[in-house]
Amino acid sequence: MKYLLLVPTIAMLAACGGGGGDSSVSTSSGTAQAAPPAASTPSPATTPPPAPEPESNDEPEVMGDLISDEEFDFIGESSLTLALDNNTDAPRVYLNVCNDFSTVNGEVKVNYNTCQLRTTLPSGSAEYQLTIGGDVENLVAQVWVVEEGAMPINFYWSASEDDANWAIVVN
Amino acid sequence: MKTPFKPTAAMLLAFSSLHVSADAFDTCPSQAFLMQDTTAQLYGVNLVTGNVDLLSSNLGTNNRINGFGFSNHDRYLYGWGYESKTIVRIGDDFQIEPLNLTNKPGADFFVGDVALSENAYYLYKKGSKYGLYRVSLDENDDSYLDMQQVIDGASLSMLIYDLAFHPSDGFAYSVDKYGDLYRIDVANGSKTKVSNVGQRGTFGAVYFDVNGTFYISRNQDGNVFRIDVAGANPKAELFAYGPSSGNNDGARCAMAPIIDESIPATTDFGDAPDTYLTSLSSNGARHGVVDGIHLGNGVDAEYDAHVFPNSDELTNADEDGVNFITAFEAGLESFMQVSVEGDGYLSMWVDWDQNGTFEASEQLIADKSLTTGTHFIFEDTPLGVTSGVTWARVRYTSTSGVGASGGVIDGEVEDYQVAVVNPGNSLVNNTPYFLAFEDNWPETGDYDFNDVVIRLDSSMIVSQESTVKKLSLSGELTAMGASYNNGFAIQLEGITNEDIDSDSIRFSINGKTVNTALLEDGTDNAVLKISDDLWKHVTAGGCWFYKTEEGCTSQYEFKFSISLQLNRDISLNSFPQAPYKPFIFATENTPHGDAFANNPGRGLEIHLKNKSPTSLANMSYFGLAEDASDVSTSTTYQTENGLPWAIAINASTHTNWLHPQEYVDILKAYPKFSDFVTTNGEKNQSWFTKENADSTKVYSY
Repeated sequence: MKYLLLVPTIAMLAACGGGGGDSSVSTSSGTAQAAPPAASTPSPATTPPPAPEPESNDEPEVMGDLISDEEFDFIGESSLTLALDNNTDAPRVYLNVCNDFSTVNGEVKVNYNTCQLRTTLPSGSAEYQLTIGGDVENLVAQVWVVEEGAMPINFYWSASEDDANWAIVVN
Repeated sequence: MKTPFKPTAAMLLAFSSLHVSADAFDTCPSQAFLMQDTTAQLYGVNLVTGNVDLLSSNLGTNNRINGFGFSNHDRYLYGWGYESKTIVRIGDDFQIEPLNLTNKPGADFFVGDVALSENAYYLYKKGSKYGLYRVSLDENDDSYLDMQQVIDGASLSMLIYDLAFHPSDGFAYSVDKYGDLYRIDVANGSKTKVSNVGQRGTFGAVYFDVNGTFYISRNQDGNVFRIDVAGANPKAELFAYGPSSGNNDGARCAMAPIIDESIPATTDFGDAPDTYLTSLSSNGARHGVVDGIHLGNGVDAEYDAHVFPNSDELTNADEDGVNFITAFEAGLESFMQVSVEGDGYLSMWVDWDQNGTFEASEQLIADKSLTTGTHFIFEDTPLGVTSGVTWARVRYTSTSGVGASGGVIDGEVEDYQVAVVNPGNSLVNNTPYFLAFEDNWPETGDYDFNDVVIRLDSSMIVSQESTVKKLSLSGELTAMGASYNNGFAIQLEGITNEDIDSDSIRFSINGKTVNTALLEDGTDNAVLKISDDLWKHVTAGGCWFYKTEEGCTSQYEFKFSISLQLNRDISLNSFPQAPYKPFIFATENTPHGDAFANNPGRGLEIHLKNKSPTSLANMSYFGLAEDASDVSTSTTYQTENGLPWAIAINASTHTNWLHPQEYVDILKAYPKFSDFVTTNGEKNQSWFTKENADSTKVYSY
């Protein structure tokens, strides 16, 4: 909650009095009805502690209720650094990193239309940067030695592990 | 009628009356009829694919029927019965009914058809003793069933095997064994040689469709050709690969289109742009859908191709036969996995030079024989191919020797967009961004974020030295809930026009090359101006807006594709990152809200929050109305509460963001968006998925 302020109840009441359709103030239909008068004018002279803020009524209902940090750009993405070590002596090793795949009868089926990286792996180390869409839960890195009878080697990354680095070693 | 019936002439009239109960055909059928074999067998022919279905193996005769035609007047088939030595009529029970003719010349006929302008049957036989005959089929005509010679066969001499009447010009047409196309005026028996169509053979079955396209089927190989008889110097174009036959005769209702949309579709098409010959009118690649032979897990049928920018996948995801495990790397083996059902031949073409066509020299795989199962295939990618994304076509069928276009009786065609790179280069594909704009800047709008919604896909080819060799962008307008007219462009921060190899730019809209300049003049950074008015490309389809209101559809699409190469080495780290700087701008000479006394035009730009405007933006517009931008600190396109006029949603490749319906606030459509914003994108990063939407408040396709 560092950068976002829910529109305070008092401000809502003031807005209802004079704001009308001005978008600089909240105009959601729910805010005026939900604003409890008890929260509007607590007296500093009274001895009981002030009533807690009625948070449940402050939920923003429309976009105009929100306040955003001026630096937040509303672009949802995260980045992933992929570090690869190709230690094989195979003449050609190919890598596909893809975000749609499934396992059918023990076999990994990759939707190659969803590959974010397609490359012949150089020998030794290589590093790649990928952006990860907000709803990408898993990635598969499928490594093929390009030769007759090849079988892929699969590596996996999961967004739930919240790791921005992924190291893959191919031996 | 299993017992052959051999009526005497005296019995024929009585016989005829017995068969009056045979009904006419209900409709003018789209399929062609084909009579084959020495004991007549009747088939239905799908001219689109060449598929043939047996309609009747027992028509009540032990001999041939030839000279076959369909009467559009009474909807019966007529032919010459070799057993009964007279005209026979066939109704929807597929049984012959011999008719009693007068003045028969004493010969059998194998050339004939029924006219469109009159209910009369014309028969032709070469030779001076015979010729062209007219037989009235109109019971009210005085000459009903009287065989009248129009002209003798010496005066009208042709080596033809069938003829057919044009649906509108009144002439009959045929192609002789030498390939000469004749137009015949049956009123006087004169003929005109129209052209030589470039094919020879025995064209035993010929047909017209309602558009006047002439189809001729060659007995020797079954190939069906189509001819535009109204064109200049008409030529035969291979149209479908049908079955061969030693004895063919065809008939068809010339008033029918060749695809009947009142019955389930029977044909599979590709979906590449039509320059690759995809649709039926372009004689596109197409396959009859039959059991037991296809690519991948299945095949679906369409009435016509869903040509790019539409997709075959919209109806059913059946483009699943080929996995391109490697990109095509020039000079190296490409590696692919192909799954097929049934025995057949695999062929593949790749548009290596990216000129929008599949040339014969671009055939990568030719008639590779496969059986049911999954196969790993290695093929050499030629040297000198153009890098980037291009189209590939894959066909699988039991017929060998098929080209990249035309119909075939079975199997499947699948069109793919594939990547071609130079050896050692990497292909980096960004996951798509859905760019959603409110176009009311500098006033706040209704926050339905559907005034302009564009899906933007992008990819780069990157060298082993990590320099960007090529940038490809493709996009699609998915919604436009805008009253205003907006253009769309993308600014490439840190890249100038001089950095871009202008000769390398390829820009297309809806698969068609755009010849207007893509790079805007007079900008500090390169600006790719994709459209100066998005409403030029689509219509609202009877609604107020484009794809924001339920129950409204528009047949129009707006998809663009761009690729460009750079004049200098720019490292991946210094290259701008997706989604780059996309923005909308006001179309010249159109109004854009109360904040402007005059039409603001190109100077009005609306960008993602905190993105810098281009050097063509009118800086005096900042700070008007609710805009709280401070351009000097790159705090731009936001209100004093930090709210934007545009958002970019980065989704997985297979996600299609469902934008809010018209006037629906984005928080109502996507309640989890609130926490995404309040946590600066830390929480609810998948707020935009279908599962997180209120399905009653988002637009459904």
